[in-house]
Amino acid sequence: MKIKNILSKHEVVLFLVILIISGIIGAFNRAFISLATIFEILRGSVPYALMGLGILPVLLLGEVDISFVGIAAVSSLVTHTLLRKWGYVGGLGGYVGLAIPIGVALAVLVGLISGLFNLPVFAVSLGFWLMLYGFNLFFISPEMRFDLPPGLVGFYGEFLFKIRDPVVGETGLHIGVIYVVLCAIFIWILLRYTIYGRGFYITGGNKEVAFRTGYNVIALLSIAMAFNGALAAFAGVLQCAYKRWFDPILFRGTELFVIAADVIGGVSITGGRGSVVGVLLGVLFIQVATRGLIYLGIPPTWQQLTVGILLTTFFVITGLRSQIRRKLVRQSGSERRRLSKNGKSQ
Amino acid sequence: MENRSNGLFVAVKQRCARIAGQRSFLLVGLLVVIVTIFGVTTSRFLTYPMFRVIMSQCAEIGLMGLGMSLAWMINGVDLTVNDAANLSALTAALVIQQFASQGQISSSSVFLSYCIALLTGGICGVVNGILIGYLDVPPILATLGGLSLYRGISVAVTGGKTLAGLPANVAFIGQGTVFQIPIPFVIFTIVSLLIFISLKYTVFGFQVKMVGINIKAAYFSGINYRKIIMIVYTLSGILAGLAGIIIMGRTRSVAYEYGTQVYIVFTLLITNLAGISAGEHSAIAVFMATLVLQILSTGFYLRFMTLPGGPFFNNFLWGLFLVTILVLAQLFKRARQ
Repeated sequence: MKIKNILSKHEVVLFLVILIISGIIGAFNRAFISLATIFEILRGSVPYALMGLGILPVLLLGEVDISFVGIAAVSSLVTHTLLRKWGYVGGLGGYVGLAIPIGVALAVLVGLISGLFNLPVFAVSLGFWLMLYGFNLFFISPEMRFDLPPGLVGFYGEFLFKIRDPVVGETGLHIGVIYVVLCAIFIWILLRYTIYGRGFYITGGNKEVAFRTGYNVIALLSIAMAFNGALAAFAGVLQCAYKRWFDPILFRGTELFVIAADVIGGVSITGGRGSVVGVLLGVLFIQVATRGLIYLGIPPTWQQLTVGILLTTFFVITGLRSQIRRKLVRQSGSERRRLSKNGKSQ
Repeated sequence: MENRSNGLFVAVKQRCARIAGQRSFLLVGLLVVIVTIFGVTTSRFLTYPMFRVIMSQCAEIGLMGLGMSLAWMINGVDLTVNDAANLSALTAALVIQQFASQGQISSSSVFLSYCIALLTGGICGVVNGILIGYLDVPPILATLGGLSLYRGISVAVTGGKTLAGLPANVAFIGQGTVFQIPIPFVIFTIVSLLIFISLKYTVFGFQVKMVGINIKAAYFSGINYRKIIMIVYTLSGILAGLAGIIIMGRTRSVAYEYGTQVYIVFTLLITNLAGISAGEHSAIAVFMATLVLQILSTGFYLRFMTLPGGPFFNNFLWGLFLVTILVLAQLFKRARQ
């Protein structure tokens, strides 16, 4: 009974699936199963995990936002431009300190517009998506910026600890992983132990109930969007520092995959259900699957199709599972009714 | 007696207010204003070639917009419109190339390729419909999966290259004219009218409306809502196929990356501009919204073409435009209440 309970947890199943997939890829290409690959996958997932965590409160509210990628791009590029103009030579601190307020301001703007005018966040964020990238390309710079300040140059090689790998040489666990863990703990505490966190779940489950309980739904949406913007801006700065250039179209085209990662991690797109651990596993799943394709030797032109098949299969399985669960609930419900009726007649 | 006439008066007043408040009405006004502004400020705007460009370009985006608006009407979204169109155009182009390699391109083989394109679009729609209607996958996810699936097929088949240099027979549907009116525009007008009539005056249209307003109520009144969802997404797919044919004809080439992302945004823009909401649909409003958008697009292009990075500025304006329209529509609604 206990094992069955554990196995019915979405996160556990997902973790097993990731292990099985890694095993299969490893069977075809031994190079996949090594510490170096694991560290590389973890480092690559850092920005996506941050964005996935950021979008979680918004998804819990039952809203879908896609502007966060644009927010990441604008806040990182604007920060970079401003800091270079002011002659800043330091490291990550200044960038994060300036990018996060910009990201929060933009995201709260999206939240307030959709909250005050009772519009779906998806539609508003779509407009912002276009506007933000247009802003970056037209007003800031249409070119990539390689002029990193000296403090930021070595960031891609800042490891917590180093190991020697026979194939890739010296590598290690990137410091960004710590940031993700800290943010994850923060979001977890927020969702689990604060009145706002519980509000996200309640509003996603039933907006009317949340309203009647006394929650200010617009304020909740703005708070959720603020976290979304902050983490997106952080992710944008980290990604640029890691890639060693600032990109006006940073993350463009990946927004739906971040949301897909969350959904794979068990977050309900209609709101009210989802967990921090699930999000992290979902991001890991997408990273393992897409990187695995390279290790399996699938040509790049077929990768989009393979990702499509993977995603669709996953959505179909989740759809079927929820259908079966609902059927079971209905059956047990009718059984209970029958039993209670018998009880009355006796 | 007095009571009754009073009731009649109120009814007439309400009816007038409803007509004046209708979105198509507002859009006609908007259209006049925009055309006047561009006509005054841009010298080459009010000419026949300009209008021919506008009319032949608005069809593809309008057909996709119709598909998106249908999905939007039943609380769904169809993110695959653009990629289904590209995939349909691709299959048609492959069939035509096959015929061309055998050295026989007659109008019947072109017609066959068109049928295959529509069929491909329909199949894309059926896949979406099965996922959303029968497997209960949320629309945004199902069509996201479909998007990468269809784009993936296009990329895998073409190897990421553009198929160009299609024979001239194909071009008629995209570049030809009837009585000086571009054929794409004629097709778009006819399709809009058909959809308007079938949604307004048929049982099917009423059922779609019911599913959009309240899916549970529809289920309990005996409507097979799964089938309706399926049909709506299939229709959207077929419309995308039609758009694909027109794109192929207009550009005489097929590329997997034609219009990606921005076109999806455009279709959503059309849907929101036309005021489509759950259970409420007007193909005429969609038609007008498409015209407004295309005229704006061409006008902006004429004005900002010379600016460095003009297209980027257009994107910025589009985003601003969408948000403004959404907010204004909501304010109008509140004012009426």
